[in-house]
Amino acid sequence: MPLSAAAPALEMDIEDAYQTAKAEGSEDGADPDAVIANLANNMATAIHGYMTQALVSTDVEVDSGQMDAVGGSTSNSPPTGTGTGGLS
Amino acid sequence: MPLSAGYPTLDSDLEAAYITARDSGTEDGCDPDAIIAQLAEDFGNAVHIYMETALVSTTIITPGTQMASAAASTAGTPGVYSTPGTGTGTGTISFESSDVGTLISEIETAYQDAKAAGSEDGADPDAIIATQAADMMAAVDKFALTALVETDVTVNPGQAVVGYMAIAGATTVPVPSVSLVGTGAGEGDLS
Repeated sequence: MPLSAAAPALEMDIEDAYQTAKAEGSEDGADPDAVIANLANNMATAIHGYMTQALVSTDVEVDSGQMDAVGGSTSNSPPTGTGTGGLS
Repeated sequence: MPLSAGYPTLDSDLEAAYITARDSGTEDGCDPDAIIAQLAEDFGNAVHIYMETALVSTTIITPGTQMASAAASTAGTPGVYSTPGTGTGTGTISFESSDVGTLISEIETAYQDAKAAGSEDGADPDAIIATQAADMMAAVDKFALTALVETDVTVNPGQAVVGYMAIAGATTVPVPSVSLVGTGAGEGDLS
């Protein structure tokens, strides 16, 4: 899905990360290092989950000089094409 | 490296950023604005470094229509690619330094707004958290959409090439051909 569709989940996940840190930090005997580690992990997971949804669009130029089976090669201005895909 | 390999570094970089902010905040005479500025810079740099670990994969189509110069055996007649081409692209994403600066600035603003809201009488922590989450999301989302995509393209062989002719006695006969592997480049963005 495009990032525009993934953004609401990112916002919710960030909010959840902060709420979890707030709740953990208010507990008796809370370990600040553990709270921080958990916050960082939740934030990283939120951003990673968002970013992996990205769609990619490209304009493609084919190089001239492409050969064919009988020894010819392309010579004119390269045509443009399109590319679509994603991130990993 | 793919995003999955960049993710652990993002996690550790964010943790380091938060620890630095916490430790700075416990020092005598600490400056909250300076701490927020440093946290925003560390957070923004962590996100920037992580996002640039992304690997791009695309499927490409080209219209064909290239003109091909005649090989010696084809009586000097040109050929033309008569079928579209397919292929794949692989590449990376990058960001302008100005956009990284904007990300850091907007994260700093988000933190400053949360700090200001939290110091007001009757401040609602849940509302502050919700607003900060929205501001952080907006900053990260806006930054991601500034990504510059670049790919190296491989065009599959097999596009039909028509138009070549060969001399056969007193006449000419068509010499069909097919393309071999081609290369190219792609530029684009994320959505």
